[in-house]
Amino acid sequence: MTNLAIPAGARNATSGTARPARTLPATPDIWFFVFFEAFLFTAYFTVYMVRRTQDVGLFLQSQAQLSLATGVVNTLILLVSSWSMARCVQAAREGSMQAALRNAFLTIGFALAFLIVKVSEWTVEIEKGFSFTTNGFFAFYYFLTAIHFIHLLIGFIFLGVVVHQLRQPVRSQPLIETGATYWHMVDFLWIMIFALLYLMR
Amino acid sequence: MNAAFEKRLGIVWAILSAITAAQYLVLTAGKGILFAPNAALTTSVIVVSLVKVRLILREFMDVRHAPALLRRVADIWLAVTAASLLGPYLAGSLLWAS
Amino acid sequence: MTTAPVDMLQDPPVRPSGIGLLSRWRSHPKFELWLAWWTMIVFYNFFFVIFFGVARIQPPPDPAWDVPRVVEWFSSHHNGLLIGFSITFVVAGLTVAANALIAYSMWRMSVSRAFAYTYILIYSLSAVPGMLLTCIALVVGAMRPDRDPEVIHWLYDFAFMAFDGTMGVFLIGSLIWMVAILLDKNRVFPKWFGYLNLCNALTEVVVAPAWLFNGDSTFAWHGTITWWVDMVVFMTYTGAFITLLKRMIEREDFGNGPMPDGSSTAP
Repeated sequence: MTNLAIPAGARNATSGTARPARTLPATPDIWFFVFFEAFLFTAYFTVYMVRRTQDVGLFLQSQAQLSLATGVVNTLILLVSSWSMARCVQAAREGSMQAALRNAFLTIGFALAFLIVKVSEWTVEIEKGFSFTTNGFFAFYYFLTAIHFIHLLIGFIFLGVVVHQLRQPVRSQPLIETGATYWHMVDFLWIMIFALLYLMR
Repeated sequence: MNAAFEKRLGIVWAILSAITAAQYLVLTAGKGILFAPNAALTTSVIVVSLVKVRLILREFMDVRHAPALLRRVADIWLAVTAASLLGPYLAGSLLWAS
Repeated sequence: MTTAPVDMLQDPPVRPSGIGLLSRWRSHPKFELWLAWWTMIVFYNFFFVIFFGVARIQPPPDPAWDVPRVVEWFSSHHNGLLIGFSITFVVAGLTVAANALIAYSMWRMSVSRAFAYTYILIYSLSAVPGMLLTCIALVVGAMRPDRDPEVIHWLYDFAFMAFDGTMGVFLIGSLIWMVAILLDKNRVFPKWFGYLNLCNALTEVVVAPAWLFNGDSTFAWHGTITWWVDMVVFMTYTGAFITLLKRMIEREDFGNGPMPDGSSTAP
């Protein structure tokens, strides 16, 4: 994995606190990915909204079967994980590697907490008899949460690269920020999924 | 860590969590949780959620320091998402009302 | 895209005049790479024209149709299926050129040869169920319109499930290419294309619900998400790799180290 240390956009590799007025965090390449995925999810969300208007009653009844509190807990976990990730990047920029590593491990811990809450939530829903093919709403519920969950699992690889980089004597700041940028994407996509599945009426 | 920046990240996290808690409290304010079509509530849920996403992009992902192109792409995505979520929803609720 | 043969003629080394056009092309050091690239273009043109225009099996029909409707679909598509797929069987072998060129790109990277070999193996296998089995099942269905309608219905399901059944193989294929690009130090491809491989791989996962739904207009094999949204991603991906392979050939210096930037390589 050390080969990954060759940064595509190393031109903005900076260390220390003083940053030029306008710099691109991470690399242009990961931003391309983030917005490609963001537009793709917007397409999924739009299809959900259109299908929902065709059977509002069913979608509302099915939404009542979800645990709003569990959704809130999942959201709070991802928000705090994003906060520790942002602190990790800031610490790495300033060269305080111990603080950066501590925050990276905190992020991994919160990611694991999200994973456990999500799997237990699915278990409860399946035990109540609601599966992927139950109805139009639950198809979207399992589809959106599962595709997000896969992004979260891939996130562990990005977080692993961040930890690996933080332990190198010569680290690549753009690569650390690439992992962070990916992780924040997992967070903000969940914010929208939470709004559509649990909050809207 | 740079104390001012650290404080700023903490404030952003506190705002994001407070908004989430407020969203929960609004839905559970009455007797039990509300489960009826509600265009005002839904519109505000989507707009407030996009504000949360914008905070994550600007503050945590450092888009506010990024070149204009990235800042614009982020805002265009937010606007497109707002339109493509609220458009079908509001059109649908008008159809139901009539 | 049409400028490539002109480049081939203008680039050195060119032997003295008096030698035929073909041997002048042949003497061009990138002749073989351009041959593979153009073969790939020819194949994709055949593929899209036949699948969308002649046989008209894409966009896919509804999996929820009853038996009489499926039999009617076969009779209305009879000629297109037979003519279209007879051409497909002739040109199907051209896919090897595309696979070879993609494997060559990994060969040129600073990564293990195992990436190129695995990619060729996995894509050679996937062409059989993904394209040929689909075509064979549909031709078998179209061939004898007076066959038992239940059997026709069976062939219909089999053909479209075979088409979706390759997605797992394409998923792994995209991931192999992605890892090779992200590890590569020779700058054969920009890293954003590595990540685009991940986007493409994830849409292959999105097809999985098609195994569970046969009447749902969102998640069945013809669904808004499983087919339409995925097809937009697939078209973007295909367009990107065709363009980037062309740039790779233009930049190729036949060395082992980092590829030169070339004139048009900015991402």
